[in-house]
Amino acid sequence: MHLVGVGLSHKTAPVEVRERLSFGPGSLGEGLADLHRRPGVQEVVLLCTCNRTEAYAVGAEAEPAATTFLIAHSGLAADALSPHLYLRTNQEAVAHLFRVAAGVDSMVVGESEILGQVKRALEAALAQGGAGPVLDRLFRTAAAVGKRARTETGIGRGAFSVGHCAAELARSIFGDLNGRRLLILGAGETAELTARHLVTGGATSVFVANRTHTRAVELAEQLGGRAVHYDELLSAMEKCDIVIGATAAPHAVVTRDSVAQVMRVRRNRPLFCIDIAVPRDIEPAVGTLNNVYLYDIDDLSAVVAEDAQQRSREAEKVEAIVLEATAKFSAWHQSLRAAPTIAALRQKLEGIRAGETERALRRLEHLSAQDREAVVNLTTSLLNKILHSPTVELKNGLSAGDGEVRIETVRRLFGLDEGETEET
Amino acid sequence: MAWEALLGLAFVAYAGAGGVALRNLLSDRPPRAGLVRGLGWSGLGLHLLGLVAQVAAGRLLFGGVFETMGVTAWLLVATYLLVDWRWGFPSLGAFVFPLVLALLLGALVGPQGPVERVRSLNGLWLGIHVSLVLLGYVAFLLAFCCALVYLAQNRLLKAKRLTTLSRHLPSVQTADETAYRLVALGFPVFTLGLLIGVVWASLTRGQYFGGDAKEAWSWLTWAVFAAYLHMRLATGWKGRRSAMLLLVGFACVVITYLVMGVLPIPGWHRFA
Repeated sequence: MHLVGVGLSHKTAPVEVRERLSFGPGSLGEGLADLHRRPGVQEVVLLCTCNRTEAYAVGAEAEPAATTFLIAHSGLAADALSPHLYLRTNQEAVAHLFRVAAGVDSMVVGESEILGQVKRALEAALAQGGAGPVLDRLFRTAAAVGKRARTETGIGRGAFSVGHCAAELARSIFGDLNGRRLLILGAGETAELTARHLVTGGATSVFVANRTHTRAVELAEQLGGRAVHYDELLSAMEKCDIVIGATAAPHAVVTRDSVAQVMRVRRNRPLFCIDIAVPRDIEPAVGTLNNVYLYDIDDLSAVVAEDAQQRSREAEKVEAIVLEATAKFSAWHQSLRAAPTIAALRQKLEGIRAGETERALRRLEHLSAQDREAVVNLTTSLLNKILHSPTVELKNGLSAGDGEVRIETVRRLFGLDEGETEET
Repeated sequence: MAWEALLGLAFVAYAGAGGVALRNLLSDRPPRAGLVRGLGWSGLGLHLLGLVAQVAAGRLLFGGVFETMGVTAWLLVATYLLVDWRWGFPSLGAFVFPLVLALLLGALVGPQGPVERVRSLNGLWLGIHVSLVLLGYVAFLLAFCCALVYLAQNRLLKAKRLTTLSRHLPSVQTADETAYRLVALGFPVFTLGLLIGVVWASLTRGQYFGGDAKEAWSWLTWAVFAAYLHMRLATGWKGRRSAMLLLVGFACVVITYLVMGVLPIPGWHRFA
């Protein structure tokens, strides 16, 4: 009942190698079946994201099976792939998966997509029949650990991108983004991404203005908004709450005075200006106006960087959660593995006790019923007391990772496998 | 005495609520708004029992300034909890509970007002006058707390620092609008209270205005909040300027309510 995790990630392999081990929705089922079929493998789950592929397996031959499976699927030679693979067993594998679920191993530390990916990996394996009791519990626990890490520490907090940052700032300014109107000046990927973040957050109307009207129409269509004529820029700003500056103009197109006038018309409702253009579209002096909040690309990037730093400082707290959860899981896993041995030991010793007691009682016929009972009780309590320590030690074999050794030792010392087939 | 013990317990509950609210604002750990609310409501209940016990023990609630503080504190907590229930504003607690504690402390340790019922204090109208004025103060005090929240969040946003505090504080728009709603609701109440005071004065003393300092400051306070509403509605003074005006209003309330109530200035608001 060996538990292993074998795979590679963005930390150990470049994308050219990682893409050879990607499993799409179609090939995932096949991959699971392939690995599951191999001898000595009882349970399998495959975790595939764009940044990692990991095969988790339970069984006596789990380690070699998973490794050869990955090498075979990649189409690369063994010595070409092996340097990129990492192998974790038992407690280490458990801790690794928990760390992954908590987002600590991700490229952007603290991202939350991985949580969904872990859940989906388990679902796929359950559907295919590859996941059994151990991996099912492992992946469910991993999802819980991931959730706990994000609730109890700051690992998932803060802005992950410029767009995300803008949405958070907007919330600090407006509270509820529902019904807010957005004006985009210009075009570009960052502007579009930022707009999408804001729309996801609740912003409704999107207006787009561009010197080239056709481009404004294009972008407006993509975002489900309306294009406005470039010279109507200011009157559009009067109606909007958030302005994204992203033109290619070589100088500022929005001046302080014009915004001051716009604010008067808007009766001083708060205005959020996001200037991601370089050179900047909006005069910096605009930020000094009352109720106007202006952030340029540097400001936003600084917030994102600071948040990333804060998140990495949280990694310590996450590690504490991971270790605690690993210990708990390993204890369960250990007692699961130890249970058959504990039962077999008890059965064997009980057999001896019953046999010997019966033989002795036949020779002690002169004893009263009460005395016979006392003799039986003596043997029973002797047995229980003798069994207590080995039972506890078998259950606690997780620490120092010698659980396997203990099980092995007990089986051998008490001859539990004599005359029976080896348990896998 | 029973009522002092009850008020003391309420004090402890409020202190707890304020402490948790403060921790919610500053700490990275997940905020526990439910705890603040729970402690707040418990304190409110204990406080009410304490006030009832106080009346039962023969002490006036409106006898002297310090005694009214007990009532004001209760109204402040009740209104805050109502605002939080209706508009969801738990972080305001960090600013409100210190005020509540100060008021309650005044009620507990301040010198007693007159023990006997002075004849001029009798009357339902007087009771209504005081209650309405206190409700007005409470609305203005809460608006002041919202203004503090606004100024803090505004400062952080302008300085371009998205800190933990900035995430836990509500948005500038929420703070600003809640302050406005509070003043919009409290101002008519306050005005009515002042007018009833004028009417009562004319009924009991034959004059509309006595010209004492407290009266003057009351009307000044009234003017400040009238100006706040006017500037906001007529000329669109939102955000920082109106928040500053609320700070001025707070100072006026403190002077009118507490300073004028305590200073030995002659006039008919003196009860000793």
